[in-house]
Amino acid sequence: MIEEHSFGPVPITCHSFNKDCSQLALSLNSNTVDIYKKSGQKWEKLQSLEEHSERVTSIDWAANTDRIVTASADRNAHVWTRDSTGQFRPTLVLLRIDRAATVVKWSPLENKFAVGSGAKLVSVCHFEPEHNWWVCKQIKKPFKSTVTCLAWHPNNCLLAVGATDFKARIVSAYLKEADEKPAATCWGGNMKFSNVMAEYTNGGSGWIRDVAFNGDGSLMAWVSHDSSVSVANGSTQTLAVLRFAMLPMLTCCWLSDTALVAAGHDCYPVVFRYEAGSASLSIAGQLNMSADQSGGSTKMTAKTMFGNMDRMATEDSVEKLTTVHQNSIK
Amino acid sequence: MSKRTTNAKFRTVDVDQYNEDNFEDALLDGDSAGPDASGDGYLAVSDAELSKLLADNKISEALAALLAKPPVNVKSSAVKDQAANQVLRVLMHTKQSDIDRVVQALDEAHVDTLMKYVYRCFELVKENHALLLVWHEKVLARGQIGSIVRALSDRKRV
Repeated sequence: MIEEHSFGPVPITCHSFNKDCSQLALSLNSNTVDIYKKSGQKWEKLQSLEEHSERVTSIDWAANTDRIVTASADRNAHVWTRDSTGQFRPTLVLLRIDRAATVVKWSPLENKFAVGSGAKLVSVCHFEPEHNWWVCKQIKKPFKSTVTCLAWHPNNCLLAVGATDFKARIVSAYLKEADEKPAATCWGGNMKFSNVMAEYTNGGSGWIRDVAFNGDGSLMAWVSHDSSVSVANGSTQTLAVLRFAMLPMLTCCWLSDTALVAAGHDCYPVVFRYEAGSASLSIAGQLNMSADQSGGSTKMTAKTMFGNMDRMATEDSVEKLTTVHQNSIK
Repeated sequence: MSKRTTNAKFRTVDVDQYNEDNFEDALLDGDSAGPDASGDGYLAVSDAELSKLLADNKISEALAALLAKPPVNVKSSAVKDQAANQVLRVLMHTKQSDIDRVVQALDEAHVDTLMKYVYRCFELVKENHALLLVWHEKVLARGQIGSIVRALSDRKRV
């Protein structure tokens, strides 16, 4: 069952839903973030958050505490909290980065968030009540290039980080100001801040586009720009890699401990099956339900055929893709 | 743009190499475990063996031997050129009607490497690309678009 919602002809750069998916924060390739509320079948605009001076690169809505964090190419991040009138107001965040922020994610307990940036580091921010701002500690050492994607482990302390240096890593983002000391996980026991728990490369070289932990945090999956998907298993210490035939995937997320869905340049989501025993990945199916049952290409009348020949010097033209999405899915 | 009229011979230092922000490609530097990294005397198949295989028309075997150990980790470009020329010989030696059979008989792991070599051979050949284009078409049918993505994005060049 697919619901289709359009917000205009502009690409949606980033978006995030609130807890019950009744509200949506999105950015249409601009400096502003729009908050929409669902009313019936339509979305009505509630507010426009205008604090950033450059393109907004990432938005995350904290489900339980109802706060939004936005990160932008202007090297800033802002945390937005609702005031008494229901409007969102920004709070200062000190990121101390000198390059664009690329991705931001709230931690599971929503007391910290991590920001990846082109400055080759991850800033882990927590709130300091006496000054009413968010301060950060930076993880610099392992990263040799821009950080592109982040995912939090359920224990609120470990972070999976993918970067353009072709490696996916698990680092510790344990802050004694914000967390209690975490128990050892299958990725190791020493969780001193910025310690690298694991580092993986899938043998090829493609930018890591997205990284995701499964429900209990024992599996880390990532999709890379060399048309591959990989899963690292912390309990069995194995790495499964699948190089597939399609265009690269841009985003992935776990459906269960054995199923992973990913989508990207081919404009339709694909489901992958992961088997822990044999450490193998395979394609299980695709979610490519065509909106137009006739397959997308309309019947060629003589008029359209000559019209196309005139306009585009071709006899038949496929202007609409057969997939639901008409462009890359991020 | 206007022509440079002053003498620029004093520009002997490449300042870009000293930039601290430059990406150090650990993939190529540190990864010299495996085939002889210095490149001396490293070739999967010697030229003489290759001539013999081609004379016997053993295309599949020649190709399998060459694709099994491509000099991706070797720093010497002379070795890489030599290996690329060897693959080019094999590709050009094959009759057009045999290409399909040879491609189908390849190991799954070698399809990506072959696609990399097809693109490398496009660089080497100055004219007469026709046979190479047929190779490209057949390898694409086997490897699909994913093999092209990997041929273009892999930093381990052949």
